[in-house]
Amino acid sequence: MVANRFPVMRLVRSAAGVGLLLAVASSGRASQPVASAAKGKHDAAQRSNAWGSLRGKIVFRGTVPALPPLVRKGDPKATDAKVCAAHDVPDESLVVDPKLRGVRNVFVYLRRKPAKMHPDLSRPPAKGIVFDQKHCRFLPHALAVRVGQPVLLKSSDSVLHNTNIVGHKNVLLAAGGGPESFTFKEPSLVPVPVQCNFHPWMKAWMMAFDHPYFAVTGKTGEFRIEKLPPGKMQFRFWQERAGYVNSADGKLKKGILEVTIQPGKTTEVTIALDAKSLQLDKKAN
Amino acid sequence: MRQRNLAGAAAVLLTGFLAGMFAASSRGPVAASAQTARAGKTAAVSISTQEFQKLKSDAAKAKNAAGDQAHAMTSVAYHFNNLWFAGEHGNWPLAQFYFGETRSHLRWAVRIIPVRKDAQGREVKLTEILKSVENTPLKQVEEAIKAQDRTRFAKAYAFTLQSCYACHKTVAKPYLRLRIPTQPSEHLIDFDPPQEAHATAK
Repeated sequence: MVANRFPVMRLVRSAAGVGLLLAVASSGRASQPVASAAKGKHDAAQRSNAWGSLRGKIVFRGTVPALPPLVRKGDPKATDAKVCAAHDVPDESLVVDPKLRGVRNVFVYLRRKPAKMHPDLSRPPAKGIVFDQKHCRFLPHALAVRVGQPVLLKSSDSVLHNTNIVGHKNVLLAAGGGPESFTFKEPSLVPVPVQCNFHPWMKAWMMAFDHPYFAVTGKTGEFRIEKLPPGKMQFRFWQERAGYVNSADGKLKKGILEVTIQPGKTTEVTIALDAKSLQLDKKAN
Repeated sequence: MRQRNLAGAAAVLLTGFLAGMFAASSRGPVAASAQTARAGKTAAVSISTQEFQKLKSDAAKAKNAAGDQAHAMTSVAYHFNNLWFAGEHGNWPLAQFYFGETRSHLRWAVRIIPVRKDAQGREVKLTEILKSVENTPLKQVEEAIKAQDRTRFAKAYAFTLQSCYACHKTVAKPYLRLRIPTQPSEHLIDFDPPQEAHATAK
């Protein structure tokens, strides 16, 4: 009634109403990013708390055997001696850190693809991994990749090599050749040998996985596998001299270790190997 | 009910009879050979020795007729040499022919001796070396022939020579150095492309 009688008042009232609506709307919009950032942080925290890690070390017990080099420096009989015998080519079938006794190049991996994978790791990395040939050795000696992840084959040597990923790809690389991209199409059952048939001592190993839960032990024998789903799971340990490793401490049988991964926690393991578990009395594979 | 029992018994008898016949027939030759062995051991041995000698002699003849790896590699050299001139002249059908001959003779050479040794006594798998050569430089040669591209052909040909020489070095024959040929192995063949092709090219 009052409004009808005083049109100015009606105008003021509707303007105030619109203003109020705008204020509410804008205040809501302004607070939205803050709320979503907080929610994102909360989700991330939830996510990281929902997953666990496995950290470990593989050590060698007993006297570390001294393996003679595959090619001695200066050996005139070596093929392409100028390049291949410019340095000693070490026997990398067993690499033990002299101080820390860590065993290098052991493949450690979740035996089966889990039902649940961390969302950050659901896809294989698009970035390729370089697999080089330098001083007539493969670098790295042991390489673990995801199915579909590019491996960039190259040669830094001034002599010709082939990269023979047995049963998968066999390509010739000219001096300084590559990179030639290669991807595994399916997971490997065991590590695949890689050879250069022109220099028969050259050998390496590659293994492809359909999940992200794998590692290769580094110089100190350590490994870390992160963002694992919680629960009881089986990890497998493979070393080129022994295949599936039976450890000296009895923790590994046929290379299998059962571990319970706890959410938000890191499970730690130490595995001891010795001459018997690595079958050092036998000739290298 | 009684009829059903009779039918069942007949079926069992028939199955048994058939199974027995099958067993007797499959055992027949074995039993016969066992009997022969029991009855005349000496006779059986003398026959087999004759057969063995004949087989041995046939194998030796076949081996001589087949030729050795050097023979196969001479054929590789012959065809690969001619391939250069076919490609250089842009005679692509002829180049394709010599390419095919080179590849098949390489496969033959590797079949004769698939594994050799390097100077340090390590095994060298020639089959794997050949696979890498076929997958890379030889594949590039074939692609260049198909593309009728002389520049690519020359590059791929030189790369193949490098890979052949790398193999020679690996099997402790570094003195077998290779180079781009200056004369074709075959003087009878006209390396120029056919006239029609010349006309089309012009």
